[in-house]
Amino acid sequence: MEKKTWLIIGIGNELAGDDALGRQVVESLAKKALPGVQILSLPQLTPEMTEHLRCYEQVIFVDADVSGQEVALRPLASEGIRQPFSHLWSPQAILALLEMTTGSVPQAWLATLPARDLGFGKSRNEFGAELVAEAVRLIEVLIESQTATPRHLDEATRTVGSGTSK
Amino acid sequence: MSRRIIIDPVTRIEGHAKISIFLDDSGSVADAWFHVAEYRGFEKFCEGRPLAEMAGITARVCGICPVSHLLASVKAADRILAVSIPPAAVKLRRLLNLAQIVQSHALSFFHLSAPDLLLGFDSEPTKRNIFGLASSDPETARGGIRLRQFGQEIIEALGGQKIHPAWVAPGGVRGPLSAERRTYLQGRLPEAISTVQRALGLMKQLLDRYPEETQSFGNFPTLFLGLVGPEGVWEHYDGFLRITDSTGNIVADGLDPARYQDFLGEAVETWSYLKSPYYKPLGYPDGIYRVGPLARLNICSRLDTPLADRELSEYRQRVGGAATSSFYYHYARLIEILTSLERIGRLLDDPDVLSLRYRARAGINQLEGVGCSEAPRGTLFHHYLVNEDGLIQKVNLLIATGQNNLAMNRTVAQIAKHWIRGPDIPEGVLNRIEAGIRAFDPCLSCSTHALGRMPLVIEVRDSRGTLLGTRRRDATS
Repeated sequence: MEKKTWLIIGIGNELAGDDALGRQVVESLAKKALPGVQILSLPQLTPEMTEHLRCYEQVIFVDADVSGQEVALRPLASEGIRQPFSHLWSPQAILALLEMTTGSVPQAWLATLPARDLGFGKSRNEFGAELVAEAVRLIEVLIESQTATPRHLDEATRTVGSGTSK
Repeated sequence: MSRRIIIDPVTRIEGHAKISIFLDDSGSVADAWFHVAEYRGFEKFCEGRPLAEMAGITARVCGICPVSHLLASVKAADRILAVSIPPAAVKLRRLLNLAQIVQSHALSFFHLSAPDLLLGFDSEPTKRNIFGLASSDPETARGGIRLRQFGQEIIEALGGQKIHPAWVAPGGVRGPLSAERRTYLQGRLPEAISTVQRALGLMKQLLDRYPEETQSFGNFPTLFLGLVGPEGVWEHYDGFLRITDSTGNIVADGLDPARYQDFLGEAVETWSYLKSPYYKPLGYPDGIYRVGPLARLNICSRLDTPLADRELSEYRQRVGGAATSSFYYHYARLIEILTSLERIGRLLDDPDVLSLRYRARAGINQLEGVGCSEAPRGTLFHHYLVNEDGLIQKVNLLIATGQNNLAMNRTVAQIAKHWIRGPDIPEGVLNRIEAGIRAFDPCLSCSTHALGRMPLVIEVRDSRGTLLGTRRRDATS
């Protein structure tokens, strides 16, 4: 099977406030129509996602994080995940399941955006646009770095402050 | 001294429930209850809503079987509009429902129950899940994932999204299948059939491995209810209701689903939010009946697809005619996947699924309508009363899992009586009690939602409520 290059998955509930930030990121990326980049916007991850992932060489998950303080992008591994079946599948669990069923996984990263309010309705985060823009920038740098020099990769995977504190 | 054992929550089912087991003074199981512990109230808050909204609202009853609610809802609306929908719309709705049966049954068998069946009821609880299955049998695990994905892809191809597709509408559907999608789905069909045939092979081996479970997992006489088509052929979307007994005799036939209240009663117990429907002529609770895969295979004359009919013939030889053990739900579920896939193949070959004549339009022409179809878990009824403006005045939802409520309670009691001996209750026995419920594949999301990382807690209490002991395990299975 000839693998495609990049898959970027935004995860979140569009009616749960900041939970939708990850999906806003991939919607912004979709408008840029980056070459070799496929976008998916999902309310949640499910085991069937493994069948999408196996078609790609690199994948980036983008999700809101209630414990996060800043926009971050870090490499993701599948080790040590043994999650029981539930409605809450983490990116690591999906990678672990993919590895167990196919023997390989794509190179993976997780981009997280700090979430404050997960209440019902659209996100009212005054810094939302800034957070989304920062995550988009980091992801673009990462993608560019993978086709350039290793030095760029270091820059891309660092944690970047978002200036979101009130 | 009498005692009470509580399993709360029951894991690897769709929704939230708990089990109470009551022991008498001698330590023997006296009774058992399966509680659905949360209330959602769809029947009440739908009052006042426009009829056209009902499919979209009631689909939110569940994230696993929204298609079932969509279909029952629009069928009730068809009655109120008094329309005969275009043939293409019937075929497209049938295709959607078959896809729903495939994806839901695949989830139940491969994701929820296969860990028990293939790894063993007494296997290490931390590994008794889809990861444990993937580790021991990656081909089965991946096959199950891809099979469920196939069902979801059909739903998405028709409705634009896998969950809650707003595509089925009163009077028909909102669009045809595209030729491109049809070709893609036809290409995936052989693999899906191969997957379920392999699973059927595994299932037959498992029957020999679990004779005690087969005998004790809800093995008792009840009635069986479901839809059948002409000549009693297996049916999932239309037709009439048939009721058979545990020896295979037809008790009632040709029943109009719209008149369900003439022969089905809905009892209420104080300890559960799940209703307890029963067959009225036999009264409550003697009118206990089962619905879903086990019932559908018991009541039908044949499946009317070649591969599945061969499996049905072997199934009936193995179970001895009419199946009375709920353990056979798993086996029946796989045969239903197979016939669904064969029927999907037929429909994909039918040019009508590309037709542009897919919807009839009308206003309010009747003030009452009942929609009935077969959800993966059994027969589903939506019953609406509207006013002249089409605003909902009353709603009654009779859901498959509710119709199995009496049988699930009796199953829990039977397993507990068979397996519990003395005060020490091994984890594997608790898992068997839960597995007895899982065999029905109950969708408690119809009255609750969310299955998270939940612990299993058993409390042993004496008759005065004094806690004698607690056993807890994290929900790692």
